[in-house]
Amino acid sequence: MLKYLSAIVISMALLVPAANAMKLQDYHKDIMTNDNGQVECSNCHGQSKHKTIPKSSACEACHGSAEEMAELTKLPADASPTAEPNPHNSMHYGTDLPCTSCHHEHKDSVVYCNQCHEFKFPKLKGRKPLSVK
Amino acid sequence: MTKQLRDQVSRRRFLKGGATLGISGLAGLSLSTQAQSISAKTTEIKFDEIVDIIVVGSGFAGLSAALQAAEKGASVMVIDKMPVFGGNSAINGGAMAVADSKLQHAKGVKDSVTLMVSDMFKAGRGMNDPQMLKLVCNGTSESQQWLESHGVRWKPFLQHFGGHSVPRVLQTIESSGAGIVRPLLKAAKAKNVALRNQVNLVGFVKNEQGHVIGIEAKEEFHFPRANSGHKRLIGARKGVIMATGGFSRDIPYRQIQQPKLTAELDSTNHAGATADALKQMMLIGANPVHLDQIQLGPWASPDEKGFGTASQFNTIATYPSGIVVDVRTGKRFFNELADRKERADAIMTRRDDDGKPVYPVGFTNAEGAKKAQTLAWGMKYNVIQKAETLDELAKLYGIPADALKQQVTDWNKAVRAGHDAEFGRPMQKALVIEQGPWYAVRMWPKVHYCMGGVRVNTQSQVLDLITDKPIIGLFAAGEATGGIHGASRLGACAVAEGVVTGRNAGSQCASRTSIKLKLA
Ligand SMILES: Cc1cc2nc3c(=O)[nH]c(=O)nc-3n(C[C@H](O)[C@H](O)[C@H](O)COP(=O)(O)OP(=O)(O)OC[C@H]3O[C@@H](n4cnc5c(N)ncnc54)[C@H](O)[C@@H]3O)c2cc1C
Repeated sequence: MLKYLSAIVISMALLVPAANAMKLQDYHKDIMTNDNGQVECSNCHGQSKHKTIPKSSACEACHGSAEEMAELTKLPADASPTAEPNPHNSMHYGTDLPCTSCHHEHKDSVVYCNQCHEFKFPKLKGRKPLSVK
Repeated sequence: MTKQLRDQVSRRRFLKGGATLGISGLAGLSLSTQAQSISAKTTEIKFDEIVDIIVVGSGFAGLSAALQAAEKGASVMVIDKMPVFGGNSAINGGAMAVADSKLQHAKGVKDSVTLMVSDMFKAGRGMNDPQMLKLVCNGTSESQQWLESHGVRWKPFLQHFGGHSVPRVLQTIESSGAGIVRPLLKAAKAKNVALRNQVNLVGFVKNEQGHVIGIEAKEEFHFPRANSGHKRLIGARKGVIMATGGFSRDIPYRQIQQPKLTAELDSTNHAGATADALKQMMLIGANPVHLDQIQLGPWASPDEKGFGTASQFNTIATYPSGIVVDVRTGKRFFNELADRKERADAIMTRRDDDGKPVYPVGFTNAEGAKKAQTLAWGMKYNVIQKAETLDELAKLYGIPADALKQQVTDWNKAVRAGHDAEFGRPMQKALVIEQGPWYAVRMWPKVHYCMGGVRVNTQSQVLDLITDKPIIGLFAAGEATGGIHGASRLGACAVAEGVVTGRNAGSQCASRTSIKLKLA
């Protein structure tokens, strides 16, 4: 039993620094770190296995609903016809696309649309620098 | 007990129930023992959830099936493995071929179901399943009106796509299949259809008679992580409708069918267009037909990913109102309005001595491009390029200028004569192109559509490989089925196929008598 327990303690000790060593987006570092300097994985991952991709509801707890998000990034009425579209409300998927389709925390973010499109979305944070072309 | 453990235990319990497995083995024991499917007595199986009809896939076929079945009073659940609904349908071009449409009447275009059948039969090199082909063409006009009744809106003009003998193509005002998918999703929600994304079908549940009575699926699945998600058994009192699309993005599997379709070729499809659902159907005895008939889109550009902006530009502008030339000679080399197979095959003959592609260039002028909705977008990302004069155009792509100008002169002569002596292109809609500015695109085909799939009958039932009789409780519709298009699908005929066969499957399945199933 003792052996078993200590194995848990050791693995936990290993686990926490590992979690902290994991890449976090700069803009989330502060808010995700607790008073002991440890990252609160459960903020996003809840009680589920840490490897599980968080549900959009985890993001929405701070950022507001998908509809509210879409409202924030709405195009002005006089936008040019080739202005890049609202990233949070597309003709193909409305506001249905889960946040994690583009926004990643432990690796670079991506533009889901760019499987077909070439959008720049220069305001998207936390991704590889845009190539100048 | 952890969730995982519980799943394992319950799975084992069902597999034990599978002592009656020999019954499904009538069709061939070796097949059913390899199958992921679970066989047991109906009374022994306990499901986590039960509905009348499970629809797998949420594109045109799946949503049409679901809505049609719900309109007939069935309780329906739609699952899709991807994070968003719509599959290829949500990113598609929104063009639907309709025989004998109201718009054709208004515009004085004479068309008929028979003519559409014969066009598709010709493109299909006669390999089409005649019954299914007729069923699709016959249903287009009524299905178009059904879509309209659910809020789909069309552009007010007809288009003439390659291989069709008359203008019969309608297109959503969005120029996208999303203009069909979004209204259908809304209508399905209003009819209380349960819509579940990130749920991956991984097997079927059969009863002692070998009838399909449910599925095994993984919830909270994260494509493409095969190990993600947790298993659940979902029961279907009336049946399971497979509307799981094609496998154009499944590079290993498409290469098994066509070794030339290597990773070097891009695809227009969504990432989830893989063969996993097809394989599951084959494992329970479905008959795969024409799997090696895989269509390349001849209008795509190597200068962008996927369908992009060039595909629609070429479809609506370059092909009907311009020409395509070999950059080395400035000369045309094929009928730009031939069907897709002929055009793609022709383009892919343009290679250098090392076999590397020499991308041909297609172009038209401002008049020819006036309906091209993606023109500005294509130019913004340098996929479509503009040149004021033919000399400038030649310079842009390294084409010999004199030869190019000669080709344009020759082409205009042919248009005026109404006859393309070189390649036999239909000239009804051809345009004399004299004035710049010119708009041009480099071209190379991309893997686009799987003509093959499972064999079905006109009740949309999946037929057994050995007996050619229906696998009771299993239906299929849309791109997941094989044989309708034969060797080559005509443009705009997949929307037609998806909506017509989807609705057919939905109403056939809904009219079955329910069987009693038990909840866990
Ligand atoms: C870019 C593009 C443009 C096109 N333009 C046109 C056009 O203008 N006109 C035309 O007629 N045709 C067009 N096509 C072809 C046409 O869009 C497709 O053939 C059609 O959308 C297929 O519809 P479907 O419902 O059969 O399959 P899909 O719409 O592909 O839907 C299948 C769904 O099943 C899901 N699925 C697969 N396996 C599983 C599983 N194991 N568990 C759960 N879910 C699963 C997939 O995730 C997918 O969402 C186009 C295709 C593309 C890619």
